[in-house]
Amino acid sequence: MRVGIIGASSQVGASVAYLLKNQLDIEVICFLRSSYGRVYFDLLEIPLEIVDMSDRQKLTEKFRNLDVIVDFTYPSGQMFSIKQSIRANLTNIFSCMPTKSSFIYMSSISAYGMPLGEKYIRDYKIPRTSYAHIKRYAEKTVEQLGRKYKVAAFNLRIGQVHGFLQSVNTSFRRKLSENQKVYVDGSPNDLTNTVFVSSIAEAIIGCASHLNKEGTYTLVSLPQWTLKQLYEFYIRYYNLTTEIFFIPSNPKKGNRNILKLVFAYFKPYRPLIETYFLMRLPTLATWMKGRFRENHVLDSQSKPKIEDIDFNLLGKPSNNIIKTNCEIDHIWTTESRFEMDYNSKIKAYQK
Amino acid sequence: MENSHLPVLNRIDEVSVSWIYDRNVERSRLLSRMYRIPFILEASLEKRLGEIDVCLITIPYGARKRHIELCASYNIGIYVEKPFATSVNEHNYYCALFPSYKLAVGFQRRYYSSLAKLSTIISSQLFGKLNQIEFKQGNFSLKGGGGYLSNVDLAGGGVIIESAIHILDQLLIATNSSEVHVNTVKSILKEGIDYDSIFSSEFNTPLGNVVVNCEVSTLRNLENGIELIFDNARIKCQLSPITKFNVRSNYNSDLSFYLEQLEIPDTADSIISSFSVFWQKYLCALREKDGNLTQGKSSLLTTSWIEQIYKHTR
Repeated sequence: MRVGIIGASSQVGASVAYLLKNQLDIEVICFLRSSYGRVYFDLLEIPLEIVDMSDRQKLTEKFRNLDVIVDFTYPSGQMFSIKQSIRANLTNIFSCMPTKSSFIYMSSISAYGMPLGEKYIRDYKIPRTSYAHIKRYAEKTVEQLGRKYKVAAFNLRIGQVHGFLQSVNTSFRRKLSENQKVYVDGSPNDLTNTVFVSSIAEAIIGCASHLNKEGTYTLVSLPQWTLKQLYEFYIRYYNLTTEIFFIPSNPKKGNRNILKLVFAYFKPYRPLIETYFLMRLPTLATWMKGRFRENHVLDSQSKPKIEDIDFNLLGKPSNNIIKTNCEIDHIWTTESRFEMDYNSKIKAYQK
Repeated sequence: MENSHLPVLNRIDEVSVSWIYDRNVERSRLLSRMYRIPFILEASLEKRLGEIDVCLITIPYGARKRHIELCASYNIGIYVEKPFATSVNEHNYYCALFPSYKLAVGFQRRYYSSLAKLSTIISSQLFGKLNQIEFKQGNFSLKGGGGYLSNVDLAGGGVIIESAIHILDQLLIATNSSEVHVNTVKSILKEGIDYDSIFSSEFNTPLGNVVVNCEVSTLRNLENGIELIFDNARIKCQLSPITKFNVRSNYNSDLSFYLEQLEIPDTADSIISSFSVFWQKYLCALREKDGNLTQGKSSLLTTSWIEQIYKHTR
């Protein structure tokens, strides 16, 4: 199997390229727009081409012998121009691909459309963020172009990606090592929507080998890792002594008390309401004061006033999840092997 | 430019942005619409320099020389984005073209609140003499920033000159150093661009010599931050606008606490406010024909450090 990776300069793309070549023994070729990232691919001996993605003749020539193209790109630029860029890029790619080959678009779990700050995954008919809107547009375009050019088209909605070259990993590690005690928003057994890079590499093989039918999938660890498993992995992997406390804060959306919302709305007017309204209604005033004190106690008990370590999207996605090997021991071995090999190569190249 | 200078300048009463110019006309048009500022084309650039008091230059290092010289010939003030120069000679050449108060370099992070605090901790010898600094900056990224980062003539170098230079400059300021010597450098370099470097240097400061060990990488994620080793304690912190100073005793590793950061006037507690403080100070310097914290000459030592590092690698 020959795999082409577009956008291999991304953190995920670069890691997947390594794992496909070195751990899964797949023939890989990476395509970059700029030569800045070349050093990484030379270091790891991964074949690389610098290409202009609008040069169809060159693309056709480069794609000729490939079985699958994986696209990790997300165009930069102003928001209003991104959809156009995506369509133009995808059209160029599909039109240059051999028929009966496969195309895998790396979408995001954000495509479910949750509003910012939403703690639980849910499928929203109308996406609540522009990023989700754009990702869904890209997914739809991929499906259309797949039909048009007779290419098996896959969209993989990837969860939060972990792995030692990912910025998420740095953030987790830093926050865990800087604090003796950390607070995680959620219960230990809450399901996370996370995935390690090795699972992405395996999913690509699965799609390209037609183990999965073309379509849109979610790619998170299956079985999903719990919050406890995720944080314990970091603690063990980096040999940390941090104590972790799992304390759920905000309830699920929809469970919010309407009365609380009303109170929140009128909070800035409290002195006015007290003066001109509640002073005339002693029974209501007393009842409200009692409720206020009780809620205050509840708030102070629910969670220490310390920032949560990270934002984790919890719950079970509704879309099909691609099955890969997500066993903790397997992930551990893959990660540590990759990290050791990579660091030894860096050390060897430092002059 | 888009996210920092222009919104800040548009909010300063005494400033009117006359025009913007970008070689990419689409980009000029976009910024023009975004900030209600007219844009000009290359043909009229030289003529229009005569209309302004200050020129803000944020194009890549390698494309600036002609523009800097042109501004000097019009005797106008100038702000030049970092990296300003890759050698002491080049640095001095540019400085000689302008009265010192008219030339500012993009080291606005010198106004960070955290830096002012750190300078006080060091100069007061609160924890004894500073002996050593460990600095790590490693964020895995292979993105070429529109292509110019992969061209050494345009970028001047790699991640050290493009990004770590801010912290290197801040370390020199915090320690009030008068000289810097690079002792060893190990680096992964490709076509003149550094990607991963480990280098050891020594500062001469009014309170004695300080060993400075740095690790800067775009190929590895590192435990980013700086650690200062004093006679009596070690302090860990970031050099972000505001930071927590984690102090640990050298004699009892269980004794650790955070230093509170008091508000220091005329400093910045966010990236965007560092631009505001910079412009206020620079405009004040122009009015009073006086020096300011980011004037060209004041970063000569930073350029010297950069020049020595790259000399070792190439």
